[in-house]
Amino acid sequence: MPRIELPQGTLDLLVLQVLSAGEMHGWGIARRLSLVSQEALQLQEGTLYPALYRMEAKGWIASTWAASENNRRAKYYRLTRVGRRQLAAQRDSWDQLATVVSQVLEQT
Amino acid sequence: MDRLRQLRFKLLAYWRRRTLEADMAEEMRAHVERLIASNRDSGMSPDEADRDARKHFGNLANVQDHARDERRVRWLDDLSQDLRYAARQLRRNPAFACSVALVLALGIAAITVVFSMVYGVLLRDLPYDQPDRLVTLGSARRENGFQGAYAGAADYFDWRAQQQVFEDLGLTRPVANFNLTRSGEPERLQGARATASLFSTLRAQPVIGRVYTEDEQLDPARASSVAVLSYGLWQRRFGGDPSIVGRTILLNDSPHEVVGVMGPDFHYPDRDFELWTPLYIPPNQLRSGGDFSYLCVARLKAGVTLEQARAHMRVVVANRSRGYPLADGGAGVFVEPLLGDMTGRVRQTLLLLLAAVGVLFLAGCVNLANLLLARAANRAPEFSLRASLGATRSRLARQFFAEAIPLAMAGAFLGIVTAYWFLQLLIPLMPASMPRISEIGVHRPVLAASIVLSFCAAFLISLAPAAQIRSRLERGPAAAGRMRGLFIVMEIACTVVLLVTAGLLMRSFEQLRSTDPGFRTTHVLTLHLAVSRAKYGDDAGVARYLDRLIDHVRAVPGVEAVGIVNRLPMGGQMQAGIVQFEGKDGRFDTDWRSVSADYFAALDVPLVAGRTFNESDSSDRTAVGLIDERLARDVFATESPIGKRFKMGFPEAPWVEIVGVVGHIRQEGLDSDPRPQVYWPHQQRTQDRMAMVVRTTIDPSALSASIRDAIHDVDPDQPLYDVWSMPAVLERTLRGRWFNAMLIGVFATLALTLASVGLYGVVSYVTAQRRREFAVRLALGARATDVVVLVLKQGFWLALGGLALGLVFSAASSRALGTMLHGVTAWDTWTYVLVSCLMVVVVLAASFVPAWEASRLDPKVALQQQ
Repeated sequence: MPRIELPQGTLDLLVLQVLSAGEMHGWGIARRLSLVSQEALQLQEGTLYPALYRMEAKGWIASTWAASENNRRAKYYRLTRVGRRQLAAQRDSWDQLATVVSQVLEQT
Repeated sequence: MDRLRQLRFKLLAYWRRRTLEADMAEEMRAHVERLIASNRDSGMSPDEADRDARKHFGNLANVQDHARDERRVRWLDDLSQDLRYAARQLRRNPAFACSVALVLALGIAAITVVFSMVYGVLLRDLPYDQPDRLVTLGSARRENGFQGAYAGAADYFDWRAQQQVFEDLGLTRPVANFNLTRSGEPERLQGARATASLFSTLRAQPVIGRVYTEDEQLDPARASSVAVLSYGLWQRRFGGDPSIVGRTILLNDSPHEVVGVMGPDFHYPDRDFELWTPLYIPPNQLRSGGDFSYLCVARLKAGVTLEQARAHMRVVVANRSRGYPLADGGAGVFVEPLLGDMTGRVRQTLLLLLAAVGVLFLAGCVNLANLLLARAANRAPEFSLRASLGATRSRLARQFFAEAIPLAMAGAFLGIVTAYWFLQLLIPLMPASMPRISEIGVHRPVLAASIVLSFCAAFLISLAPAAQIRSRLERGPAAAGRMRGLFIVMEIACTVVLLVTAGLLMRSFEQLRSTDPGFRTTHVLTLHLAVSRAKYGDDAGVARYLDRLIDHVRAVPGVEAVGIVNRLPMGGQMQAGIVQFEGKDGRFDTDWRSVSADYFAALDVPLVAGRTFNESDSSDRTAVGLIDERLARDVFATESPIGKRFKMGFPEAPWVEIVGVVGHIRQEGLDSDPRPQVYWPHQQRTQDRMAMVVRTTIDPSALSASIRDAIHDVDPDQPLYDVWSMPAVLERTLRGRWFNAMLIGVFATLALTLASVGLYGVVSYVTAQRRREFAVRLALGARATDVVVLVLKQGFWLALGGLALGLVFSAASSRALGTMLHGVTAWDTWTYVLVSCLMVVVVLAASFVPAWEASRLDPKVALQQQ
């Protein structure tokens, strides 16, 4: 699969989606995104963290320190109730956007 | 809601930022390490693994910056940075920081002192339940009493029976003295005779025992044998012993049972009153048109407004069946809020002080603005550098605000501490006529107001250099000089206003002090005593006792004449009522006086016609009386009043034959003269409370001990009180004016000092700007004096501007002084001229030092410097 640029704002949606499956630390989120997109999604992994902090400030996700798989201290993020609502809303608007864009592309 | 949650999160993040910073570093480091490890696992060399991992992750510093940004509250970060920078700057310039803090502290101290006075006296709630529902009722107005409105006893009973807008009314006669004997040292206590309804109207509960009931009040025997004590009296004389309830004490030689003690916060009419006894008025003495000496307080029913009560009472009064016309020409009834009525007479004074201190504060703020401008001028290079490095103008301006914060805090703290100390000094100097002095203090609302004012002032002041940043960055230093000049003109104007006000008040005071009251004031000793009826029985017995006292005192060496009177002139107490003249229309409001024969001699009151009283005017002879010359002129014009008759203004009063006319006396104060006087011999109209006036050959205070002994020779248990020389009595009446003049004088002096220092600063600055010019002039042959004149002219023009502005404002504000001026007009030439000369002298003095230095410039040195 060719590598694609990630449009502005969609990183939030992807992270929320990943976290909807369960709580995870930053490294885990990065690996999951890479895995699920079959390596097509190439992002600077560092950019995850500003996004995570932003969403935490907005109350969409919450964090706790816990022991990770390799017995090191890691910060785990989980979806909050508000986050779940955000995820559903953003998915809807993404779907709508995709539909509209496809329609326009097909018509003209 | 969302933003609020965000803000809360970010503030928490700010609070724990150090921990969070460490967390973030660890989190990201761990991620990078795992990337490196995974790269190693896929076979890369350590260096390659490292490089690749970092490339994959992104620039760590950038990522951390972006991550931090998501958590920041930008303004908070900027603010804390500004504050830290400001603190560093201030520490490096302690002289500047101290002078700003001190000037601000001075202004805040002055304002806090006046706030305390205004709040304590005019605004603080009275110590009763729901005090805003309490009103006073009265038929007559008095200027110098506990309240503005005074009532007659008959009015009270009528009103109480017929009104429907009040929960209850209470009546008090505040003039009642009680000699407490046989419970330790004999002491005269100030007490009030009040109806039982007073306590229920004020909703005051005793702390032990009970208050007397209305039944007890209406029973003459019971009414004169019960008493309620104040908390202070109970603690002071009876040691707070709870067994006082039910005990009998001896008041005016008659036993009174103590039925209860009031709470520590209960005072009525004011703090001086220490006991209350039932007010019993025999029904045949209930008459209106006579004696308006009672205080009436009422509580509005829930939901009734003041206006409704006023309207209702007017109707009640109009419908009254008793046909006695009222003293003030049928004005009806006054209904005023209690607090306002009690403090009305000092409101104008306090507002004047508030205005004056406001002007002082303004002068202080302008002075501070100048100081900050001076400092900003020195920091121009610093700000140019920051501006060229990309700081916006608003960011630079914010720097000034940040510097203002620690200065505001220091100023507020120092100012409030100073105010507290200064109040301790000031309160004992306050006139006794100021109501509610005990409420004056730095209470919470005053504290809050002062702190808020300090911060507001600091911010407003820092606007000056902040605004100047713009012009300075664009136009250079000349603009700064103009702004500072403008400020100094304003400061001088404020100072002039204060000086003129202080000057006018001081001249008024002097004029008043030299007013002739109509009687002798030097070498006169005065004292008061109350005669116990229980001991001396009826009027004849009391009169005989008083005559004996007079004889004994006259025998004291150094005494020239002795007289007694029921109300001492200028003594602060009054007894006034209506008199009518036989064959003449009209009811005259007069001071009623009972005197001894030698009273007029003792006070050097001239005899204008006829004779004064003598020994033949005793209780069993013809009723005689004297009137003063003002009444003689008003009533009889060119006729002789001798042989005509007058009486008190109620039907059963006996006619009295006029045997003489005496000079008119000012009774209430040197500045007011509301009523003429009529006199009865004390044997024919006997009173229990008398004042004795003693004319002496030597200093009166030296004789007070011998006079006391002479009186105690007659009755060792006779308490005496208020023993003062007559000049001291007069001084007490003037104390209020003196206080105002003094305080405003202090403000004016402070303003003048600030203005001189400020002017010195501005002239120095402007002179420094023109150094090169002066150097050139000197080099081209100008004399030193020419340069001095040039610099002085700068100061002079500034002063002239300030003076002109100040005089205009003074003319306007002095009109507002109105009744506080006595003997001087608001445009008193002498004061204005003096103030103008003073300002010019001060300005020239302040400009002199920079002028002198400028004239000593060495042109070569000055021109070589850049």
